[in-house]
Amino acid sequence: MTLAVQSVSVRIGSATLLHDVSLAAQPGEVLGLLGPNGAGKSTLLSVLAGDRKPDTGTVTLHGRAPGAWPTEALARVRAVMTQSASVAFDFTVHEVVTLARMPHAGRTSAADDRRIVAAALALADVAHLAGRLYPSLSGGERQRVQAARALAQVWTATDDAPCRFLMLDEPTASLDLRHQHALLEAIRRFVGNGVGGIVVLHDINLAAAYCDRIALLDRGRLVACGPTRQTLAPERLAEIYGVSLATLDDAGTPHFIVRTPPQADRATPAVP
Amino acid sequence: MTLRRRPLVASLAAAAVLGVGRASARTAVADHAGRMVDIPDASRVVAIGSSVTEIVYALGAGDRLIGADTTSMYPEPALQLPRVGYMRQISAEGVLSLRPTLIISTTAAGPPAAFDQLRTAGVATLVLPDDYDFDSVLRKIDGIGTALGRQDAARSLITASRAEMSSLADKLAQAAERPKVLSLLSVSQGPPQAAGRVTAADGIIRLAGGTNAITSYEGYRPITAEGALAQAPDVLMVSAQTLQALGGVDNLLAAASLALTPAGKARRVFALDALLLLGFGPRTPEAARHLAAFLHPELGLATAR
Amino acid sequence: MTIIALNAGNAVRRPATVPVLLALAVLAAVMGVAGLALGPVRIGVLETLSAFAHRIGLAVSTASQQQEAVLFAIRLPRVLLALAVGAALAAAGAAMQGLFRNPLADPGLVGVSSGAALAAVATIVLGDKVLHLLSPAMRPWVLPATAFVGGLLATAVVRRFGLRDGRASVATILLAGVAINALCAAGIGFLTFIADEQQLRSLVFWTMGSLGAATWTSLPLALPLIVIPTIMLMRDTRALDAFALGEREAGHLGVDVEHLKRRILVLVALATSASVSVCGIIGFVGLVVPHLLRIACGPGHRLVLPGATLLGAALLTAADLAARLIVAPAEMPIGVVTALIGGPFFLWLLARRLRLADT
Repeated sequence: MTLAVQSVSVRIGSATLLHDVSLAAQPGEVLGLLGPNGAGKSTLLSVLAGDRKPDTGTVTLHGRAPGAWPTEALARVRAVMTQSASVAFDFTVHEVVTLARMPHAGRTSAADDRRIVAAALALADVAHLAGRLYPSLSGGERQRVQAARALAQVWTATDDAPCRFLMLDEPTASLDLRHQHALLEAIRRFVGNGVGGIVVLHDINLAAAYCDRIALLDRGRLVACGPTRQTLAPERLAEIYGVSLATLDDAGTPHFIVRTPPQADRATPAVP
Repeated sequence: MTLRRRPLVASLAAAAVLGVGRASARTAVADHAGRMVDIPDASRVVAIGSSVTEIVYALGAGDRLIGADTTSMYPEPALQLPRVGYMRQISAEGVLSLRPTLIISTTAAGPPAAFDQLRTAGVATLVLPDDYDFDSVLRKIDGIGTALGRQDAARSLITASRAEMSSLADKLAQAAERPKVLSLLSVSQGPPQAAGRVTAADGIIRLAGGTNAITSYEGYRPITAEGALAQAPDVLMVSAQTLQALGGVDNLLAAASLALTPAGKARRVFALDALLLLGFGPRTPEAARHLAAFLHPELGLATAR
Repeated sequence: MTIIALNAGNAVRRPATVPVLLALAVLAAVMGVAGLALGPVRIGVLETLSAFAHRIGLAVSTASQQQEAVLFAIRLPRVLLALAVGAALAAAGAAMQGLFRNPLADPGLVGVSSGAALAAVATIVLGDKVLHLLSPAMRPWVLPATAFVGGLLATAVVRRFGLRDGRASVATILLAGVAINALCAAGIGFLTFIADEQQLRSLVFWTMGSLGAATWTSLPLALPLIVIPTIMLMRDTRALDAFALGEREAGHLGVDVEHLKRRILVLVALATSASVSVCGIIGFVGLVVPHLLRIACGPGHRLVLPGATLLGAALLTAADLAARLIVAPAEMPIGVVTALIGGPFFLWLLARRLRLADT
């Protein structure tokens, strides 16, 4: 177990964002964090990333709390892609992704950094945008650039820890269909060389297709955590999300379809 | 330049004839801090402060001036001199670029750092005390007269000024009352600034046998219409320039809501050229006589010299 | 491959850092030399050179005593101060813009300039009673010292308001800065009201700004206080780049965010307070100079921060030279010169931002 939370709770004022959550992420697999709005997915991710100290419980990354790591060493061990896609000032895409190599300054050569940045740009399918100004990009393009930046940050092994972690908060939110799959496919491949992936997702079908394991959250509690097939049981999902689901089997991968109520059953909106 | 070269030659000739200036023994004058300032050469003078410039001309040494500050607008020839900036914002190097041998100024000028730099550059720099009373005028005349080697001219100017002021004082002694004068500055927009104690306006009002309507503060402060009314001034005093900019007495009374004051009701507004009225130079007796004649018409003072 | 070729036309080209910095250093040096060689008093190149050679014991000076005084007592301290203050204000501006992720940020934003000015004005107006107690040798130091402390205090108050749970909120700091600036302006207004005529004259200096106070008495203390924090700011170029991504994102990249914010605020407050304490408020340098560099060379702080420092030094020295020459033998207030250049530029910047927001 290399990245784990144990009995973690997070409160803000009287609101409980996370309640007694325990789970672990492993290198070589993609762990999906799923749940309805307000379930605590992003909060859990920020606890795992070391942004937020839990009120109770412990977080350990390779045996130490994230806060006990030197900030630069921590940055070499885990990369985070947040939902914020804004960049102040007119940096180019290449410059933005190159920032990912900052924590490696003096440890990797400039040539290596250039090679890694180019590879990360290619993997996130933004190599053709390298010379563009970041603020001129569309929302989806920005998201892919941010993903490339996270990839470049933990591209190579480091002597700080035996494995690295890649944490992504809704990386596919603004992407078109093709790029949703392309990005998650890229992350799958990237995780293959000893990196643990932790991805917050909204789309159950994407989670079913690309995650090895799923942690299902609801109202701050961990409802279920385990291999994707077992965890994504239609009855459990129906209960958590409050919709009725049908399942299609596409060559072993489950697909969930929301059953829309017939027209007549829909409440007529009370709009004058 | 050609315009100024001739007077310079003339002044050198004059200096040679009178045996002053370069040829004389070393001259030294006490400055405002009591330090003796050595003046080896008084042939190229920069005057900073309108009273200094007026005194230099009054002593007949105007041809030695090679520069003056922007407040030096009297007499007429002073307007032709190169300007070294506002008296309180003097640039040391600008002054030095005129290659002066003597700089005469008063404590009203600045900034202090510029004057330190002028001294460092080895130019005799004479700073005289500047107060708003007649004695200060006489001290300036005396100091500048000595510095320029014009002691005789200074002495006769001092004697004449003293005589004029004491004859005025004698007349004023017969006056039954001391009218209250409210002196206003910058009436154009917002509340006007009224002169309190320790101002040139306060000084000239005293010399002319009046009392300043404002006694509660020093310097200039904005005054409201009600405040002005409460002081019940008998006379309003402004510079001719202010009155002209406003376009007459009616506008002045309206602009500052002064119509209800005793002075406003009686339309007693005294206006005089700002430099003459507030300059505290050699024309101060003249200014005092003008104002006294206005304040005390019963004394039958002549305003023409 | 066609895609890459197609987009190559869109690619932004950045000039190389080192040649740009070298060119700016040369520009600053040229302006410094021009500031020494030019002025209302005409001093020939030979006299200037020989005077300097004489000072370092190389040759006999052919300059007159007065020319030497102009060079060494007036121009040299003034040029040194202009270079240092221009560098400090521009570097502080660049760092603040990076820290606040806002191209319109300015060292004045956190109250440092107005705090220093308020302290200076208070010293001028209220200090009379206290000043008499001090020895004459100490008196020239009182004003710069109180201004310096005032600038630091105002920044400390602003920062204190911005702190929540040990973290500095940049947005709250901005708002607190607005409030402190307004309070200081009110204080200055009140003190101006109760000031007498003599004091009002000294106040003008603080509102207009001037390099005329540069003397060998004030420089030995002021220069290190201005220059050292400015040089220390150069260390934070990478961290400020990361800051462009957002505070949290910078933290993910290994930047100690709270430490950086504290460090930059302290360094900016030190450099700006020291600058304001010797030459009053000189506006627009901190705003305009980093902008020029960002537009010309891109936003990377590895170039913008040292580049702004050099360009700021060059521009303020040039502005001071203009202030000394255009109305010679009088002198234009330097604040007027910088505002005349900065004002229209600022408007152009606003217009450009509005246009970009429309598209």
